[in-house]
Amino acid sequence: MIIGIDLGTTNSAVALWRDGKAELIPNSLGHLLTPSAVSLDETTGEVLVGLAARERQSTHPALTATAFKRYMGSNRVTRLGKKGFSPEELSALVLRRLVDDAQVFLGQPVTEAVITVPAYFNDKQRKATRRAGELAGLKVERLLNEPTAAALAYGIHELDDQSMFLVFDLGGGTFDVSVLEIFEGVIEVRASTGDNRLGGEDFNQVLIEDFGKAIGDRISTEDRADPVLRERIRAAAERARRGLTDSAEVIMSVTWKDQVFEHRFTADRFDTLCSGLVTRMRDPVLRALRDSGLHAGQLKEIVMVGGATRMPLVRRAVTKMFGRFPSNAVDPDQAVALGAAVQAGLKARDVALKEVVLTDVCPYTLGVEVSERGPGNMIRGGVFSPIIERNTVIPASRVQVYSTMEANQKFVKLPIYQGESRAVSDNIRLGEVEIAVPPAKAGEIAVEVRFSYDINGLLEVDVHVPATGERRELVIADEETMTAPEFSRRRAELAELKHHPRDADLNRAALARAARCYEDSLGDQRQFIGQHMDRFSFILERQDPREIEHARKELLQVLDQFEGATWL
Amino acid sequence: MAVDRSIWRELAISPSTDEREIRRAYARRLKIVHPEDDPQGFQALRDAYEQALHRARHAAWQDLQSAAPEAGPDADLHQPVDEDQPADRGETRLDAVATDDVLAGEIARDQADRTEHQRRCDALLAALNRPTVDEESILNALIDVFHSRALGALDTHQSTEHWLGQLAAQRSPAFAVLVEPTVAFFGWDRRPVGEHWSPGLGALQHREDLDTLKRLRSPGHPAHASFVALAKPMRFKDRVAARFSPDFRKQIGDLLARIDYETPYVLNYLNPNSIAWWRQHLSRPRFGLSSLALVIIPVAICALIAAVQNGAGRSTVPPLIMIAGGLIGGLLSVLAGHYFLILPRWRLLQSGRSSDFWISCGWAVAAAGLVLLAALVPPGLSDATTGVLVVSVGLIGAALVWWAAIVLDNDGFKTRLQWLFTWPPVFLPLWIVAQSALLGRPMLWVSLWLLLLLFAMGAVHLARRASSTPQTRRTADIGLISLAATGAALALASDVLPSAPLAVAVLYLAAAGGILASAHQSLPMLRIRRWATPIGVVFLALVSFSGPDTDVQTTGSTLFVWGGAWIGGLIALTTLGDRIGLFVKKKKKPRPRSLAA
Repeated sequence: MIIGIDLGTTNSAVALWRDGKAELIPNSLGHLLTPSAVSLDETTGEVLVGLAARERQSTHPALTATAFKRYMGSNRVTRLGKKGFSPEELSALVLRRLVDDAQVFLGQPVTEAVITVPAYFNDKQRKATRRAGELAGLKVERLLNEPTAAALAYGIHELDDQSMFLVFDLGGGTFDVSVLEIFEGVIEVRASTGDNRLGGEDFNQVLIEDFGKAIGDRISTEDRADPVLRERIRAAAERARRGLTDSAEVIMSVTWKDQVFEHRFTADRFDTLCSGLVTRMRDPVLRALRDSGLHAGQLKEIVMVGGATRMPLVRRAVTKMFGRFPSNAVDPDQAVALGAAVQAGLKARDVALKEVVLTDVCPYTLGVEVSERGPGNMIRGGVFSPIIERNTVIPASRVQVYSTMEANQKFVKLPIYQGESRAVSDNIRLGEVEIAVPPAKAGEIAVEVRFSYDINGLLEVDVHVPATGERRELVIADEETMTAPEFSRRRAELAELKHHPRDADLNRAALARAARCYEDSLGDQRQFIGQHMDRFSFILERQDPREIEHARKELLQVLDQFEGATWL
Repeated sequence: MAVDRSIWRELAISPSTDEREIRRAYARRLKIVHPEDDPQGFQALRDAYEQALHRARHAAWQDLQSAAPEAGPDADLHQPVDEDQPADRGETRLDAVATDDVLAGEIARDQADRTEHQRRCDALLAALNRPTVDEESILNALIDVFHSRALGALDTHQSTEHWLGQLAAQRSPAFAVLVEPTVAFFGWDRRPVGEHWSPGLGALQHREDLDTLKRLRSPGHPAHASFVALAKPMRFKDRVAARFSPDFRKQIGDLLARIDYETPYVLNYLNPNSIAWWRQHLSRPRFGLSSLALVIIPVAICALIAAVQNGAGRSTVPPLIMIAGGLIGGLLSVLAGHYFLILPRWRLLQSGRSSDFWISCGWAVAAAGLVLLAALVPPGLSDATTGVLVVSVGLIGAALVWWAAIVLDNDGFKTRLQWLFTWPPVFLPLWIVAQSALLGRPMLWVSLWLLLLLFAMGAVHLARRASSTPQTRRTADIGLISLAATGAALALASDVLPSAPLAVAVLYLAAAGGILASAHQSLPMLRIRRWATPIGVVFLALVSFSGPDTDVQTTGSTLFVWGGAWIGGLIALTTLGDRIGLFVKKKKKPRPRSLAA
């Protein structure tokens, strides 16, 4: 059984293809979404994943990690207490939890998965995601682009149609736009673009900045740097933003050192603050349309995906852009995971999906750095020479021939880049191949460079010098890959981490939320919550399941009274 | 055609220009050639599919063209708003999801915005089409268009962008006003390189042209003087500068090359007569330093002969007259070569009738004839006459070699026959030298030896300039090696030589190695030259130190020694010249990390 996993910046989800349809798998709390958060309980040494971990974000910022997907593919180490974790390892912990949920749900072991990545993830980030899957003990069958997954979830119901549609995927940290076409059971991605630094978090940031301005000097500069306060403000901003989805006005309040700071936001004010972000959403949309050679009017549907598209602000902007309403056909939070499940079904050649083929594209241009001779024989270096153009259908393999520039050149160095700029300095460097060439006049030695971009979005470079028959192959990001023994060591270490027992998850999450509420509130309210927490802890020690369940419900009710139902 | 068939075989249909059929075939095949299982097969299928689609679209486009030939670019120029369906779509969907009043309001307002936008576009067009360019009104109308609320809708945005892109690309003063603001507004210049198509491409090009023009017009720009010279009708001053200032010539050449390459549009602002004059002037072959060296060196050698003969009391001609005669003769031969041989040749090339075989190969025949003539000179002539003969034969030979250099430079070796004809200058003199030596006419064979030397230098020149093809390089190599070998053998075998035959032989070999090396650029050869230079210099010093032998009997041997010394010096000089870039173009240092697409 292959499962589909949406490994998101804020939330993750797991789904599977069964009986001709995709369905989401609930976690131990009964929720369909699991927050991508990891926290370490220092007293017990247990690792918490999911809602419980996210609730600890503002109470134990030094022991909790969230949004680590943003650092995938980098060497950044997150310290949780004494232990250091790479983004891959944190992701692996989340993946492990999702797999456990799936195993409990299915009653059978799960070892294979399709994992989604933002379309704009580069080679390094993709490799890191794949490693995360392997660290979690999964065989990653496929890395699927998120907007493509969302399109699959949507398109699988529209197969008989002959149509084009646009997927507008605004997630927690990334923004992807894809234009797709369905014909004759073929789902073809025509163009895929995006902005990998635009997402729900940026909207939070707008609120945080405005809140900071409103508070002014009332909080001292030293306090502002305090991680606990920062996390509280961030959480409050997130709550406020979600509040604005339903109501026209919301009060963002933060408790700090026995003082409550409040700031009122209206929907109009939020609109004005975010106008810059809304403008930034236009460019990728226009580019996707241009790349696919379409006019906005030719699109049949606009499919909205990603939690951030729930914001009325975003929906309004999209309506204005296209002159019509976006589709409500899929749930923005679940579409990606459901699409991953569809892909898993495709991969497993499920009977219901036999007649469906999906083709995806490479969302960015890949090439090498070269020098050129211009007029007057002057040499210009650092020029980007594309080999695989953006939006080429994958798997794709392209060859370019380059020649030496100087007489008796001894070797040719090929730095590999990803990006759209003519100057390599503005693009992302992926690696480098070097190959020796025999001495000869300038321009006499040809070097063939073949780029193969596979269906998972991983790049392979093959350099060949016909004059000597020499070949060099390079799988990008090799230099940063862990060695095999190190990999298995890390994997063993992760496996040894003490996980919080699954069946106690609910209690743990409730308690963590109560602790956060306690810190957020003041006076009588605080005391009241404290009493309830004490009572609940006391009941927990008695270990009577029925009694515990009852007490937990009561506690959650109390908390809901104070801050509204928890969001997911 | 073979490619054609394979496309349709891949798609498993018969050739078709029906897009739907092609797509259906692709979809059908895709389920068999699955991208997951058979990436290679899929790539082939995809390529076939894309080619087939491309053909189908091209065919459709051609049909459209033949159906409506009058529908030129003007017809679709002014369609900023595509009013047909987008608005309707919004309207129809309104009922389906009429829950959100705010959204419904937005769409209702849309139609009014579009009409307003259309009006503003018309106003802009009217402002542009006024007989006189009124910059302010154009800009105001443009700003109105930019502020249209209808631009918020993507389709209007797209079509307006396209429309303005076309307008800004038009090369006329009124439209030039649009360039800067539209580029800034739509951010065309920030678009990445991989962009397949951008509506602002024409506008960007236009902007670049305008920028270049503006920069060239400002007096501070380094190429400003050249620009003025090209923009105005030819002046006397420019004609003089063209002939006597290589710097100015180079500046004009660079500017023209840059304009041709980067912004051909600027040509419209230049004086066509001036451009034509300059182009013609610049493309004419010209004396380079290396060509001059080719003339000066034979003259110097002649002068040397005169000096040596004078010192030996054998010549009745005073050395000064000999030198002056040599110089004047040399100059005359160069000028004659230039005007009678090179210019006609160049004109022929210009007129496109360059295939005349004899021009390419005739020089070899002429050289052979000359050498034969020299060989047949009757013995018993006075030394003075022989000296003059030597000088004239040498100079004519130099001119011929020069011609050969130019011919070869222009054509290279095109046929096997031509290739054969390049051998005589190397082999004939060798044969004649051997003959003369056997016949025992020392003065004559020394003179021929000098002629040979000239040919050798010509060959070096040839090899240097035409070394782009391996064939020429090989010819020059073989010629030079045989020359050196003969020289060395003669030096060893000849009984007229003084005490140091071995030294002279080594000198010749070193010289030959140096010559050879300078024709090459490969590493071992460079190394040889590096060694040949000091060896040559050392021998030159040694020989100079010993001084010419005054014994009449050993005049020939003295000449040999001095000749060898000269070659050594020559090589030292050319090597040095190479190093400092005197004679030939400076070689660039190898840049390891460089590639050319």
